[in-house]
Amino acid sequence: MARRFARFTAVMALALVAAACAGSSPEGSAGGGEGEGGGEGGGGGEELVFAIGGADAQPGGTHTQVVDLWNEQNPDKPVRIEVLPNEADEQRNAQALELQAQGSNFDLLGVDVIWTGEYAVNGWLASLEDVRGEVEDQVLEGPLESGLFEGELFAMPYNTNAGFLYYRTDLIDTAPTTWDEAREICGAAAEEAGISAYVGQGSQYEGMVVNYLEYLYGAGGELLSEDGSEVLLGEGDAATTALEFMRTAQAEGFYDPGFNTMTEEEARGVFQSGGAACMRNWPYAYTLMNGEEEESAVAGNYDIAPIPTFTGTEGGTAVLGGFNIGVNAFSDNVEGAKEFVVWAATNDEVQTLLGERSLPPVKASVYEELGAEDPVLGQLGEILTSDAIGVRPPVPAWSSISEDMQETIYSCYTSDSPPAEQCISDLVTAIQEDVE
Amino acid sequence: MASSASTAPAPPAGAVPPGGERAKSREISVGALARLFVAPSIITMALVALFPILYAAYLSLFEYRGRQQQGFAGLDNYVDVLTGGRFWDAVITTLIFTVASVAFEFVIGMGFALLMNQAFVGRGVTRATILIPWVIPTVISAQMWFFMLNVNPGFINNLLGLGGFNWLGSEPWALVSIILADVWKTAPFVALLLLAGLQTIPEDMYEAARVDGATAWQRFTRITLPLLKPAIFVALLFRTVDSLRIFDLPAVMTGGSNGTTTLSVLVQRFIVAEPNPGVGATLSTLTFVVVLGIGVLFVGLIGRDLVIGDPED
Amino acid sequence: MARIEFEDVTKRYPDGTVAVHDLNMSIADGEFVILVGPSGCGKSTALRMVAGLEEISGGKLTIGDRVVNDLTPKERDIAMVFQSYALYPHMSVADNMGFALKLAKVDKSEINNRVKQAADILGLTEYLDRKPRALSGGQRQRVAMGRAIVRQPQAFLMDEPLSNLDAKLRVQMRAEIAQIQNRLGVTTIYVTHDQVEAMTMGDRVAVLKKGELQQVDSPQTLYDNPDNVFVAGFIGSPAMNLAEGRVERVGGRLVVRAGSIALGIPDGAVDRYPRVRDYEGRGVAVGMRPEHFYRPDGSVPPDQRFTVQVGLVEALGSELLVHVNTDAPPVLTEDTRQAIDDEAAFAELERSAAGGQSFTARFDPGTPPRVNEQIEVAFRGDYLHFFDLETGAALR
Repeated sequence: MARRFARFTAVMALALVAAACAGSSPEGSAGGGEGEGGGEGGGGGEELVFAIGGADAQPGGTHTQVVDLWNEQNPDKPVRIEVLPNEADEQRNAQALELQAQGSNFDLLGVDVIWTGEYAVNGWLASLEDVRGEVEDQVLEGPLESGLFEGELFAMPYNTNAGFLYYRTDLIDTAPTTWDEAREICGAAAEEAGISAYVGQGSQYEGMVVNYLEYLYGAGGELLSEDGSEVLLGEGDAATTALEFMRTAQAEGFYDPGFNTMTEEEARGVFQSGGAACMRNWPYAYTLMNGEEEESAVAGNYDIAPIPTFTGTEGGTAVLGGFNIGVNAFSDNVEGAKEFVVWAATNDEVQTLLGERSLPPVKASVYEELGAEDPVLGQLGEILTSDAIGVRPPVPAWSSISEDMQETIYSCYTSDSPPAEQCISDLVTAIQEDVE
Repeated sequence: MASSASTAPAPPAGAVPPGGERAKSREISVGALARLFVAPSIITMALVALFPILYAAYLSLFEYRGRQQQGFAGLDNYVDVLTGGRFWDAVITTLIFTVASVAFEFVIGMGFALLMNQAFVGRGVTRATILIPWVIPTVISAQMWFFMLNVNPGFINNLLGLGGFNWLGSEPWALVSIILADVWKTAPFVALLLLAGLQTIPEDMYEAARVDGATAWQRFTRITLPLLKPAIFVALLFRTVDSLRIFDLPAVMTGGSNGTTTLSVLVQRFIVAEPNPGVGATLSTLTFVVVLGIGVLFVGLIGRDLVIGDPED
Repeated sequence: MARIEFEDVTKRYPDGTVAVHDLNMSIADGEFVILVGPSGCGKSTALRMVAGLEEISGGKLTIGDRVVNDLTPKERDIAMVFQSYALYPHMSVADNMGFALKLAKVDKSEINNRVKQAADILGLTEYLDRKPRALSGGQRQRVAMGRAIVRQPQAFLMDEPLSNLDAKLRVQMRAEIAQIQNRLGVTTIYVTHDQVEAMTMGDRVAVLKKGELQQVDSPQTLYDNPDNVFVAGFIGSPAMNLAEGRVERVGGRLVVRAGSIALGIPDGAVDRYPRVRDYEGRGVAVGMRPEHFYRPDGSVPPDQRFTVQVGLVEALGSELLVHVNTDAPPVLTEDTRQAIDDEAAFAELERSAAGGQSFTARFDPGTPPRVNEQIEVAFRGDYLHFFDLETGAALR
């Protein structure tokens, strides 16, 4: 018995080791891909490597299809995807390791809008100013702005993202446009249906920062000055208005009881199962909740509207997300890479494909063409062209700023002390240190 | 002594046998030879274990801006970290977590081990079942506990009739939840270590104690516990050191919110998320010192005779 | 100190195996009884039932005037010496010996006194502070004894306590244990598989076979008058020679014939085994102890001697063991299989049964015969043993 038990334990240990090895395989398999794409390209010079992560970078994913499209059209200038990990921090780390060493293994970099500043200031990205003219008139202004650092284009818009207010059409007739209305309308509908009023991204992470910035911008506030050197969060009372709103919403139960542990998926889970009247979420949720791919208690009973503000601004507010494509400054083929990024930002086929796959495109004409029949793109088109959109400032220290905001905003809105003014002034001090 | 190679009687002190000088210079003493043989493993260990630690200590002496080194900072990073509240909060959180989880794991693991050491029908199945939590990768069990404890869909709350109780979103319950998840996951591991120890105690030791008139409790306290001391020590040391480094559970279940920022979560923030390698290296060096200190304390208090050996041996 | 009484004591395991079957035996106060038998005979189980380490499935066990069937070992007030000694490795010798008293909340100075006394008896005084692992095998054995002595219990139970010692120490401890038991007068049950221990140490010996008691008697009685062929074959070393024979009447005298060997059955033997007369013309198991063979001179009558070939000679100095080849068929029954207690040896005996068997004869030292030499051998007919072939019972 004891011997058999020992053997069982040994097998378990081996299995764990094996699992651990398998877990680390993404890097391994990425290296193995070199033979496949490269060999087939046949003609031309070196292939370009596009380092991007997430599910869309996997075989069959959207990014893969985009690259396939390019390779079809440009068989002499092949591009291949280097799949990075799923976690955003890990993707950034993988890219940073390469770039820090001035490596040229990656030519094209999938750059989250919030990384642009850090990459640019480190000199990791090639300036795209010389091709800016080729895209400027075709690409939406907001997304283009997200690729700028100190006014210079460093990352080419690829796909963008903006949040919506989802609401239950069976419970609510007209979408709220101000937060006071939202409190009333979503609250009343919730009370009637015996469900929660509002779900969103309240967990302590980057998504909550986006939620907060939406409140902040919707109250007319700003985080940083244009050049990113000055903290404007403390100016006026927008910051405290936003924080007080969250605090009250949490304390009085406007937020679902689990709001402060929610990310996108938990929020969608509650809304999709009919547990909430209103939800703040990204466009991806729209198609997923229509009942075709997944079971949905709200299929056919929800619509989207711009995220409310405190003043009822036309077009609501939005804080842009999405991925841009940067060109590695140390690449052996900067010109070839630039060709690709311009193409990806402006090619109709590419941008339509993104639109169809819930990655909001950056090309304005796609919204005009598809907006009529696709409610998400229609709504997005309006939001993205309105004045209400904001960005997370493209400053190099964004991640430190974000970490400080996560920490302070979270602990402040989930409790009733210290006073909101105190919270904000603490935060301003912390951010000031980050940007100095 | 052993180096006199010939069978001839040992020469008087000072006298050099013909050719002795040369022979001596060619031969390597036994001690030197031993050092030579051991050297590769020492060097490997130094490279693998010591280098990262020393490198982190080195990095902690520099000031960084983002990922870019700005220059030598001396002990500025240490002053910043040690005078700020974050580090000490994380130390306290980590210590609470460690003490609570190790205590519960020990008691429950001991229970499991005693159970598994009994002969009964289905013992093999029980042993395998008990180990399932330990075999599941931590990240997955963390995700599972997050799902079960979360307000929505609220499995645990429904089970206990707690309504919308916010386990993961309130203090101190977030930390309690993480301790719970860790105990659930690791008590079987402790049980395994203790079971290995229990199996080295011969059955007739207990029979002798029964004949000597010991009750079940006395057999446990007078026979099992003392004889299990080495296994207990190993289990406690492993678990303590491991708990002091806890990262995955808070990272997945709470992201460090609501008083669950442990030392490793803090280190991860500064090494990966921000990143600020200087502060990150400072924090990891301090974490290393804390873990090492507690480990040494542990060996000193509980395991001296086990590590150094009984003077009678 | 107390008498111990077994009344129909039975041990049946959940799977149906019966380890001890209806054991009846009475052990007097202060008596030293040896339980002996081949492996699997139930001797250890019987002992452990007395200790309370095995549950009693049936019957009644009395220690002193108490029926102890349902009492815990603690309540039975007995002390046990284990084959492995089972010393507590984390306790000093003194603590090992005093452990039971400490649990019984005996006064500390009293404990010290009793431990010192026992240590004195056993010569352990200078080792009292040592841990068991710092002791030699013999010293550990003494500590195990000491642990029992200190208790001043109703009974000592010893489970093959000497089997882990080397031969020389075993001889020494054998004598010592017998002396100590004699001196303390504590009722003792001692389990062994060793012939010499069985014969030399106890007042009486109980022989078990497959869970059943075969015979309880003083060692000499067992040896001289075994109740059945199993006891006859098991007790004694070298073992009794057992052959399948036939009782015949030749010229008015009873003769037993085994193969080509024919021996007259003198009146002395008939007196001891009167029923042998009833077996005229029938088969019997005939037993001959090695020491009752001798080298005949001319005066020995022919019906007491026969010629055999020498197979193997062991000259031991004090005596001469000679294995001789005979055509006498061996007794192949369950009894002899158990008595031999060695599957391989019994299988060999079975295989070569058709060609007879080898007898062991013990002679006084002298000029040893050569291997393969044909020699004349005589047997003291008065010492012949007779048993029924089927039941194995002695023909008394």
